[in-house]
Amino acid sequence: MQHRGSSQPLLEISHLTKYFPGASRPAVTDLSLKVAAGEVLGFVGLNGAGKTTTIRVAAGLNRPSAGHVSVAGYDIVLDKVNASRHLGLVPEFPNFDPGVTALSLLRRFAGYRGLSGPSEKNRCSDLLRLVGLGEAGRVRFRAFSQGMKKRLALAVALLGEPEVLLLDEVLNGLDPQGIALVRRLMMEWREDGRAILLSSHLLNETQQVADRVAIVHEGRLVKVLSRSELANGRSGVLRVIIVDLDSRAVEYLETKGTVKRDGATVWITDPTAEAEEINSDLIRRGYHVRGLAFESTGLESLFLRLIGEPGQEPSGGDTGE
Amino acid sequence: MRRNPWAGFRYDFQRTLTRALALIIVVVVIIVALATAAEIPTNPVIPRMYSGVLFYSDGAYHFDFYAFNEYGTPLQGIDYSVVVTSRPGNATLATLGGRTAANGSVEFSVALSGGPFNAAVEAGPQGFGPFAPAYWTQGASRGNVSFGTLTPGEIVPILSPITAALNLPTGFSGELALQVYYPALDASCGSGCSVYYALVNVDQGVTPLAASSMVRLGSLSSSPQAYPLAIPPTNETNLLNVQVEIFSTSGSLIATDANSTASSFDPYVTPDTVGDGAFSTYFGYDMIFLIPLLAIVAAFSFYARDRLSGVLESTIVQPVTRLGLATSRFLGALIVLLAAVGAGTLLTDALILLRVGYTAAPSYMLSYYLGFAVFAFSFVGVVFLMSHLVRTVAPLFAVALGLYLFFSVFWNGLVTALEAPSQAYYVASRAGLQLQVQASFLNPIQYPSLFLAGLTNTTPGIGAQYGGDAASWEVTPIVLGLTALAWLLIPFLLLQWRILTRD
Repeated sequence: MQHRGSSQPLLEISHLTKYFPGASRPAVTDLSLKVAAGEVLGFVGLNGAGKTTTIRVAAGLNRPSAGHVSVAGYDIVLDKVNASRHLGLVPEFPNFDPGVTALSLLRRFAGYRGLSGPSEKNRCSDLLRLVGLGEAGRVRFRAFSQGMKKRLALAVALLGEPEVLLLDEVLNGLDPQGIALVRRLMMEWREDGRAILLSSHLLNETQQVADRVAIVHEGRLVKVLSRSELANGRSGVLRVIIVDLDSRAVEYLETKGTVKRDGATVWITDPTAEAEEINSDLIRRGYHVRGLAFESTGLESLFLRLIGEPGQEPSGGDTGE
Repeated sequence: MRRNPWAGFRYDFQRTLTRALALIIVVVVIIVALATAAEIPTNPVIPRMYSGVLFYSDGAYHFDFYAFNEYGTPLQGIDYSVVVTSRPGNATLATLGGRTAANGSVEFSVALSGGPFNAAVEAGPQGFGPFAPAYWTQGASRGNVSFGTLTPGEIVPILSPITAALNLPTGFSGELALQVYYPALDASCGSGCSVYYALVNVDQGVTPLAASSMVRLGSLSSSPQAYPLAIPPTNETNLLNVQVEIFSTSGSLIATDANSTASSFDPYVTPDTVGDGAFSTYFGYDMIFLIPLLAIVAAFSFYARDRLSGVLESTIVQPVTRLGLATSRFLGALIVLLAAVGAGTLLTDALILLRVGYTAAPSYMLSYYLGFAVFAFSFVGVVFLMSHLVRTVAPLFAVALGLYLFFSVFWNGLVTALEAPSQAYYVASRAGLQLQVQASFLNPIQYPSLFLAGLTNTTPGIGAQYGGDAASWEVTPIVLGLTALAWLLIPFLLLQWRILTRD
């Protein structure tokens, strides 16, 4: 597996265009993206923006009308078998044989990855435990909740220890525990040097884990926000609850941003300091801080600005480099 | 590192073959084979053949009878009764009765003085009494004979004196042959008689022929005795019967019979042994209806259902191509079907051997097997292809089952409708039947009979009344091979084209 920071992209989408018969416009138009080893690329857009189509083409489920997709150096159309060996997909709506148990399904797919015998059985059991389905191995797929289906799809995607993971709305339907699990796994995969394309509607979640964020709108790539652009664009509201709040504390907080007070709660818009720093200062000054939470609005506002909210013009395209 | 690009294909193929449905299909075919083979009668009731003569020897009159079935097997337990009356006067002089032994024969002897007499003979299976079923008429089961004082060696025919039965010869070994049974062999032939045959028309009655105008089959040294035949093809379509005559060692005619139809000896009539008949009547007939249904079920379960429900996509993401996936499932379905039919064919043949003593000819079994393969391929291909053309299950089944009904049930109606304007169908002209044979190539379910004609170079069943070899009906190996290949490949190639060009 390649190391984090390797310049060689593990997933490369070049000038991808996808037409569907009967559609008035292409689902995806001239879209290019690169995801390097050890990188999480957030992939955000409105419904129908072309995220799922892009991921389906990248996974080999649909043929590109134009352009190419390369996975670990293998073309997904011309060398599908080798490309798929390096690829794992978690679709938005996992769809497996409903009458088959989770363990059987996993073992069935393990065969395509060349796994067999005791190693296959152990690997499948380990994966089920990893995704929190250790006790559900004998449960049929039709009895699964949406969250369990997502977890199983995650296990299937991980069977071949792929270097490239395509996650299409992976957090949808997951409970908080599941979201935390996926977030932790993504961190681990990034450390392992995998390339992850994360499509999601949840902008804050995306912002938390993504190294870069690609914004797609009406089938076109609008902008790829780099890590620094994400950091610069960081905005939001810090909510602080101070038991013994007084005017001195408010004066201090006003030095950190625009303050609004309501009883023991203070909202600081676009704070100039990190929450931890403010918390430390308040404690050092002898205040009792009962609550501290940052609610980001940065990516959301950037996103809305880039795709052009009603009355706004969207920004120009991006090459995705 | 590049690994074997076929690994995923191979795994999917193996998984298809080991599905529970694969075993179920094989079991279904075997059960049908067992069920149909169980229906094959070991000793068919119809048609019965009866033969009998009267002769005088050792101071008594002897009534000698022989009964056998269409397989040439002697029938045990057939009741014969003879009532001898005086003539005139009609006084009953003797009432004789008995049942055939295991060798199919029974003999009554009675001492009579004076004459003349009348003997009324009846034969039939035990228990039917006067209510003999109509099928008895297929063999002469009743006879009357008037006779005076006989001299030793003199033979009076009752019923058919010589047994040379319908379809009998090919029933035993698959070779064209004529079996002759003459009840009074010992009384009239002694050291040996000569048997002759000729093709005749008995519509106007049987007329004894001179030996010089017939073909000698050989001497009659035992009874029954089979003679190989090699009757050349003839255009004399009115010569429908085989007349057999027995001449004594001195050259005098002692018996004649013309009960056999010549059509059995046409070299271009498809071989039809007892085993063949049982195979095609039972197993072949059922499989022609069953195989397309099994093909539809297999193709749907192995591929189309997953394709239409979207479940297949979870497999397409694996290291296997979409074409490879479709091909592995396609081949898997075919191999399962062919294995099932192969097992059913061999099992049926073994059961036929056990029950009637003869297997079906290899050409017969091979023809059916190839024919089954053609329509299994075509129906599997159609279902696979349809799963790429429709979005739901209903239209897929509508098309697949519609084709099945069309080919298996409504085909003859269509042919009739197409030929009706020229009246070709109704008058059954050679040209009309030729059209029907040609149309058969468009129907995969017709391929067992087409292969049978092609592989044995015999008349296709449709054209039986005109005879002639397969080539004269344009059933040539090239046409047969190409059209069968088209049925095999066209649905599959269309499927491949669809997969390669569309999502």
